[in-house]
Amino acid sequence: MHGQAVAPRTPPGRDARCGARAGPADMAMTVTINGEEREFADLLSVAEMLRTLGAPSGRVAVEVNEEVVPRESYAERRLASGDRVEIVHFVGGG
Amino acid sequence: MQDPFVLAGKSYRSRLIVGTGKYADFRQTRQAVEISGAEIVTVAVRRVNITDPSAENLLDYIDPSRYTILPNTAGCHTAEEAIRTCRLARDAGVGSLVKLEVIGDDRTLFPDIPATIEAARVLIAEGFQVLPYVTDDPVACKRLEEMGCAAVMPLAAPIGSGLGIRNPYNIMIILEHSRVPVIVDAGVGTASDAAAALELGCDAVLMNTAIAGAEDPLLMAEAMRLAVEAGRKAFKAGRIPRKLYATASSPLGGLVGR
Repeated sequence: MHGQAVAPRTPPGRDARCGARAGPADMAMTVTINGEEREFADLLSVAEMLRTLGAPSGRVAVEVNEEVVPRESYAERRLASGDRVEIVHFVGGG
Repeated sequence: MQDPFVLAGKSYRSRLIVGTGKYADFRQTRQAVEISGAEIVTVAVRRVNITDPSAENLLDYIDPSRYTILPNTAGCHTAEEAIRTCRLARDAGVGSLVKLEVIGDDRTLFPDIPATIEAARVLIAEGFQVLPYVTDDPVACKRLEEMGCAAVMPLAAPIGSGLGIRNPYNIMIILEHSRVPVIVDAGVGTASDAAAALELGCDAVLMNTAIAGAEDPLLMAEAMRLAVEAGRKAFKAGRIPRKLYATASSPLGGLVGR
């Protein structure tokens, strides 16, 4: 299941990240994930994004705008339009 | 545990560290690692394929509760890339031991020493236990040791080259002066190369291509396990000196007809 997340709407009045008043028109978000632009219908948290993508949160690490997001914060950390996200995991290597 | 290999505060029986790259599939990777007897296993950090993110994962085959997972920073060309990679790797929850590789040249894959030192400084300050991939340069090894690296990992020869230890004299000098474990990493080709490293007195040897690239990787994994064990025992047994001339092995007296 990609793209259309059924996520709880951020309550009108406060976007937790920048304090601005957010209305319905601002709810969609475009983020770059692993170099590809993706659109989501709602502002998502990192946890919700991983769930939407089907990525197993137990086996990945996530960076937003070149800063690691600790896994304990996946549920609280909200993404914003324009964010650059990297989702990585371990692969074979020497 | 007899003659343990102590690294970053933990004791290991095996002095063979193996990589997980270049295998035919995850099953072969798991089998080779198991046969090798290695307890520390390197992995790389790469982007998830977001069009197929739930595909099988290496850690489904290499159990992180059974092995010490050693993430590397392979592919990084700058200190910043290597630092980012280590921070991500640590958040994946396999510990804070990292193999620091900052590549300076794409044909030789030799490390960029200044960038390696710069990255090591930041990583050590952030609490990582750093194992730096380095050239067989005794000065570079000493600097990295003094900064607080948990070991030094001088290359035998370029990654994947199979040439074995190119400069045993440098390795011997590094061994004489190092107060942290010396792990020969990169360039091992076959069993005798691994044994040679341990015979010199190295604490361990790290290899990937030598096993994964062999015609029969599982058989080579076994060969390497035996070679590392043999090399270590030969080292501890105290070899005979090298001499220019012969010294007879059989008695000189009691010969028939003399």
